[in-house]
Amino acid sequence: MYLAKTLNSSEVQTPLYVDILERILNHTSEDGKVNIDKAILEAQQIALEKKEIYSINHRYYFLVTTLLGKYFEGLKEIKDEQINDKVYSDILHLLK
Amino acid sequence: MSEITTKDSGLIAKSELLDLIQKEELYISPLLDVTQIGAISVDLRVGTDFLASKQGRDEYIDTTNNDTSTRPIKGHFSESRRRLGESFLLHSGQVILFSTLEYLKLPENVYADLSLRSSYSRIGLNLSTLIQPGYCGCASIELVNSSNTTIKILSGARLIQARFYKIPDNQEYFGKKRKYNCQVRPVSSKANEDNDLTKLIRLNNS
Amino acid sequence: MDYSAIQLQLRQVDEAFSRSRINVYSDTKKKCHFNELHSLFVEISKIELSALSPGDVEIHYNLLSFVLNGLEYLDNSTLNVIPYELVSCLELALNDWIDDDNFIIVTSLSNKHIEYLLSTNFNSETFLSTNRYIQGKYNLKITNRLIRITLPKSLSRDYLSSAVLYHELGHFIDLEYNISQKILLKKYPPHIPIPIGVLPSDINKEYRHTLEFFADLFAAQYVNQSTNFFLQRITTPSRDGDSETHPSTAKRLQIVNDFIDGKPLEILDEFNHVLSPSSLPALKVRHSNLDPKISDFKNLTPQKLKTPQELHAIFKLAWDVWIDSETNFLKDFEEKERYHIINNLVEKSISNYTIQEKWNKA
Repeated sequence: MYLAKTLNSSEVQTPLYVDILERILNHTSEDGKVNIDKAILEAQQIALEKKEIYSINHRYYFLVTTLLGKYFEGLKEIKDEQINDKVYSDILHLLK
Repeated sequence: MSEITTKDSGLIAKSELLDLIQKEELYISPLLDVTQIGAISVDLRVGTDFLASKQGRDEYIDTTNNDTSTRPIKGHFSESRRRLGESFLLHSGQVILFSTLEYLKLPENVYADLSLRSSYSRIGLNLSTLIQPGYCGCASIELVNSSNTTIKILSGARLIQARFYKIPDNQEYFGKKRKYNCQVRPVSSKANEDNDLTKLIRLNNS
Repeated sequence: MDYSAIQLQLRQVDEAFSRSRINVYSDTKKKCHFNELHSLFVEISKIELSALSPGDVEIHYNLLSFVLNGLEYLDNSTLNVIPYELVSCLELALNDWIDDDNFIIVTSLSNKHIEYLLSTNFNSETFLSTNRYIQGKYNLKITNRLIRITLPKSLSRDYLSSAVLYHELGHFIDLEYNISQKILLKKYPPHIPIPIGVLPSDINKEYRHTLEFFADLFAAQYVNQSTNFFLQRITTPSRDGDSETHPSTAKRLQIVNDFIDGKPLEILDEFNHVLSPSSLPALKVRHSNLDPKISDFKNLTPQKLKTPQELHAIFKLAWDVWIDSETNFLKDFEEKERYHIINNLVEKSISNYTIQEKWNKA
């Protein structure tokens, strides 16, 4: 039996997330910032073991798992849910 | 025309129709609207499956031959399906086969005579089908557009009128080999599978 | 990648649109999807490609691939002979798992003998990101996602085999919500190096096997052991064993049987531990039991179905009747006729149920 297929995640999603992070840094995407912040904070909660890995929201699964894999220590350093430009910049760098 | 009677034979009227349906001796499903049952007939609906005749490379439909040298009869028809409520076009001169929406099962002493409801026969459509006692399945209906205009039909429309007649003796439907059992889609003709054909051809060749 | 790749794609998409048959999309959702794809193509065609940043080039390349893919799904869909009955069963099952009404199911009949697939061009995360992008850039949006069901043309009316589409639906749900992936993520957290001695190929094999177990259990919720019966018939016992992509048939059969029998099942618990925090329903039995000895099939009439649980149970009923057809009420028919009778009755049972439901709601 065959697997259900989807278009490959990282090839399609990485450039889209790069774009939105660039626009956040240019302050041209308020909506995008809200969604990205949710994903970053969810990843942080998992990194701090305050949330289960099973609870990752499927709407930003790729981003959260990428952050857990490549920005684990950076996530833990975010204080008081304040995500500054350095965080966006770091994430942008690791996606590129 | 047969006498309307509730006795051993003849046209079955509404009260007995209702009784037979209620006891499921006469099975009609789905019966979407109880008003389909009239004084002396039941309205049946156009189903969702159609076979439309198409012009192919062959000069004729061969009803005499069941081997692989000729195109099978079903090859002269193209299949299509519609959702309930979707339309279908019947072009002038075209033959279509469709099955009734309703699955029927007749008692072994009842046959059905199917014809067009009068509102449809007035626009140039023709059909006439007899359903054998004991038949089960959706009825395959051949409809011909003998007008000079294309006619649009809706899947689910109450096109057909079925009159049910009792006969004195039970006929065991599955007592002989049948070509069409429990069909739910229109089946093209199986005339070329008639047992007599081989004998007739042999007779002619002798 | 530079913008010349997009130049070629634009010509390909243009050609694809000129061949597409918009006038046969009787479904308004499909028409809308076609129009949205076309609007996106028109906007992309207007831009100065050489002015695109490398990132935008990549995104636009993917957008045009998405358009081409969508057209392929729409154009290859079986416009004249859609297996409505199967689609309606799968839609009902899908509704248990996905809240959004933003998907369109298209079907495709394959010439390959056993090709059962359920595929989509984008998962929900990519769909959301894409819409965010095109909304910002072009003030456009794509309303629906396409899900394509592929089944063999020769088996499009074989409801015994087509029960495997529930297994494919299980894969779709798994990939949509990353269920098997999450199990592996828990076992091998992404920030911790893989333990020595564990190869990436081992992890991949474990992942693939987990996917299959999920899909089998998912299907069993609805169609009981129907997929087991099919699997047994296509497996050669002497050659059965774990492969890189699939667990052995014996293992798969056992897990489904244990699930149906309500036996404790570690893997079931594991899946349900993932499903619950993901706000998804648990894997559990979602079908009724239709007894072949008293079913309407005995009278050679369609089964009266009253609920979705009974609807899904029709597939198991079909198998039960088929397996015993040499001794049950079908015994006096030839084997070929028994096969047709069972499939016809299943089809009509499903059709009657869905038509009656729609009629009552209209």
